[in-house]
Amino acid sequence: MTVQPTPTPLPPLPVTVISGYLGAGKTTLVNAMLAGRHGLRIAVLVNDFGSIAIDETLISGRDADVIALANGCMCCQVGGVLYDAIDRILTLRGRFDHLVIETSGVADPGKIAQIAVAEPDLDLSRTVVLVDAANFTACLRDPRLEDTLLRQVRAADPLFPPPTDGGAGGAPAEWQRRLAARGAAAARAPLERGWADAWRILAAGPRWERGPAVGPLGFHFLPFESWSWRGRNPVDRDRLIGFARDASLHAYRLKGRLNLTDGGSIVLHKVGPELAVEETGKAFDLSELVAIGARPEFDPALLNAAWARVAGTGQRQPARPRPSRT
Amino acid sequence: MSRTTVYAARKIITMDPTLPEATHVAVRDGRILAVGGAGCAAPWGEFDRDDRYRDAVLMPGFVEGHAHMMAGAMWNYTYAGYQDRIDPDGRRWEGLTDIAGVMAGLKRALAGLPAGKPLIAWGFDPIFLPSERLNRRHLDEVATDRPVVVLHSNFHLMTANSAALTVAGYNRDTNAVGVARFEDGEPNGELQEMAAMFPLMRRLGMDLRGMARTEGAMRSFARTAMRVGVTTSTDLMSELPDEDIAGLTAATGRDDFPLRLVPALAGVARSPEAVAARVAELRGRSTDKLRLGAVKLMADGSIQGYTGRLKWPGYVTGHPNGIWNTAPDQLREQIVHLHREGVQMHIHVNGDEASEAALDALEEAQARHPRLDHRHTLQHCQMADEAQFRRMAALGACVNLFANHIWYFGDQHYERTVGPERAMRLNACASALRHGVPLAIHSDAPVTPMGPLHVAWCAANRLTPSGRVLGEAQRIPVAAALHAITLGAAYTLKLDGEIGSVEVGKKADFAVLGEDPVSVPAAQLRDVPVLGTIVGGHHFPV
Repeated sequence: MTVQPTPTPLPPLPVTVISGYLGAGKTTLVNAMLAGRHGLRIAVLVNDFGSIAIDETLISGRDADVIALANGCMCCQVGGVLYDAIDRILTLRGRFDHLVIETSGVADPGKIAQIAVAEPDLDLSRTVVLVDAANFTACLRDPRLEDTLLRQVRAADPLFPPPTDGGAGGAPAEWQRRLAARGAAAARAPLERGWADAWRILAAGPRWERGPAVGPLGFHFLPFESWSWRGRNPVDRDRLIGFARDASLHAYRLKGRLNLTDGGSIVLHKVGPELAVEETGKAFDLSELVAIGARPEFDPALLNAAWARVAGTGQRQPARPRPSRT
Repeated sequence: MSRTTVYAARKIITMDPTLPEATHVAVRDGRILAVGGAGCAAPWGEFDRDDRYRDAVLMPGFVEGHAHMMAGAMWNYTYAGYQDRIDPDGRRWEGLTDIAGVMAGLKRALAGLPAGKPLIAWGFDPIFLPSERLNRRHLDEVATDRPVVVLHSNFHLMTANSAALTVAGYNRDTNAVGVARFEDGEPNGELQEMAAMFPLMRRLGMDLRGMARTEGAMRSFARTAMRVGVTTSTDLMSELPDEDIAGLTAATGRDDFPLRLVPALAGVARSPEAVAARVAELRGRSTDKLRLGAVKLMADGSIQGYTGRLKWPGYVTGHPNGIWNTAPDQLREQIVHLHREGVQMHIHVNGDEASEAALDALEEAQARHPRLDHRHTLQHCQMADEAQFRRMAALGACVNLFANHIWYFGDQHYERTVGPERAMRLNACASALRHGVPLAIHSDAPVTPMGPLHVAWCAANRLTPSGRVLGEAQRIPVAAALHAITLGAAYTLKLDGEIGSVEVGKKADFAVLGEDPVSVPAAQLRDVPVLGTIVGGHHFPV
């Protein structure tokens, strides 16, 4: 029997999901990314080539479902079968630095982002949701669409209004007020330098740094509420994870750094349903945990009660090794 | 000169109002030459007599208006469902009615597998095994040395053993939402929705769509159809690239291929202009047994999966409303454009908000580009109310109702999805007929087993497994149900001039039955034995 040398595994391919309702600017963003001078080899999955406008001089090859560009980028038409297309991209893993998935106008980007969370060869970078400021309010008023749009916005990490919709410091627009009234406010990251720079959303740093600052998300008028804890006592790992996963607490975002009774120290970050835990290997002076959610489901009194069960009566456990994710 | 053969039968149910019953049919060149008594072929010269069907009842070959080729491919895997099911070779797979039975069935299948090959099963439905949820530990008892995967019947869930979870890289640190857990935080083996299933499927080479495109799957599908009397079936959503057309043309072109096939091009996720252009190419490539040119659109999801789009008051459980597969605005754009181009559309609409969106779009299409006899068909259309049937009639739309749901999911709909009142009018066949909407009924195989007599039995009896009659007023007469599985379904495929009834000039396609479906009590319609089919004059005994 021949022993094959184990090839050096490539790191997981970073994935950015681009979502938003019809007319929100997804294709504009994709076009800008494909043509951008960024040096990244981006594979883009789109539903339909029809609206992709690439300067013909940049195209190095083309067949029924693929357009290859001279800058190393590639655009693939999914034709309704997203998983097959992702599988094909993964067989060409070494040729790309980043995978961008443009969803259909009614897809739930949270579900599509889960592909990148579940698949070990992929790594979710972020879920970008675009909103068409001009028409969003009207769409939200359509009872056939309201829940679909709110699902999209709730998955956003963050939300991108189009470059024309004012900078970060501007007053909240009508569409923002309407979202907030439905408890669906999300971090907002206006494209201050226009579409041409939009590819920069791919080049963000590791998740811990680039996550929206904990605190009021993007803008201040709240249905949002926050809860926080600080302390010097270590907490039990499993109870902490249970607390973080407890859907009945309705914590939309959770961020913390904590020393544990098993001797470990972790940074914990939760966005929507996704929970990330990183071992730091170094103890903190102070443990901290902050949670944010939308009233009335998110109730700090409930979190206090739940947290008392985590931290209040914690017995010190013997230290045990944890498997590390490599 | 071609030979003429006269077949004698105990009875021939023709579905032709001019001559509803006969005892003899003459066949020449694969087509029906004459119908009537023993002398019907006399004006046409010499003929041979064939008495092999002397004791059988002949009907027009059944037409399955909504099924998927994947129904053939699934038999590459082990069946693990609750109900008995017949495979393409005629073997009856006993239903596995508890967890121990599922484990025993998997162990039997394991014995036939080469060492190390993953064991993959399908058709499992936890709804019928409420005592305990199947989990990783059960499957670890089946095997620890290889992956064991049980696909659920809805294709949205699977349960995997520990070896399979390792293949997918899942452990207690996995963050994915669809990786279900025991209370201690360890994955319990259940993987929910495609995102969580995908890492395992790609590592085990479970390419269900790819499997459905092989000739083996086509033949399995055709034999499955033959065993239930079907001589024409749709494959109602296919990407249809050129290489598939070549494969389909070759396979269906063989005389021993027992099925006429009507694939519908997937119209989702492409611009309507691109779809119309592709249809124009495909149309010219139809053959005698392969019919191209129709398009499938998708509006929403499924009711039992809580992904169907419902109007107020929504799901009785309080589940949030379902999902659009196509935004209503986009659906309207597709429908208006394809209608203008004269492309026939089969539009998947389960919930009543989805059927309403399709009707709104058809109304706009008709207002802008009036067209007679378009035969656009609302597929499933399970929740349509009287008002929607009136609109279908006014707009000239056909409906293909999912009558099999009444038996397979009826109790669930009554108790856990739409509640009693809307369950009583689910798949309202009588309303369709009352309003003059052309009606077909279907199985959506592999979602439910293909079997037109079973579907017709559902439409005529509306019984559920718990013994409930789900809306007595929506029962239809047996004769109407038989029409819906023959000429009615053929009409929705624009093939009613060629198949669906026993008339001079039509294809010699027959279902061969052991008893007379209009003489047995309606309650026994599903038990009428199918002895085989005739397709274009070729004989396919079960």
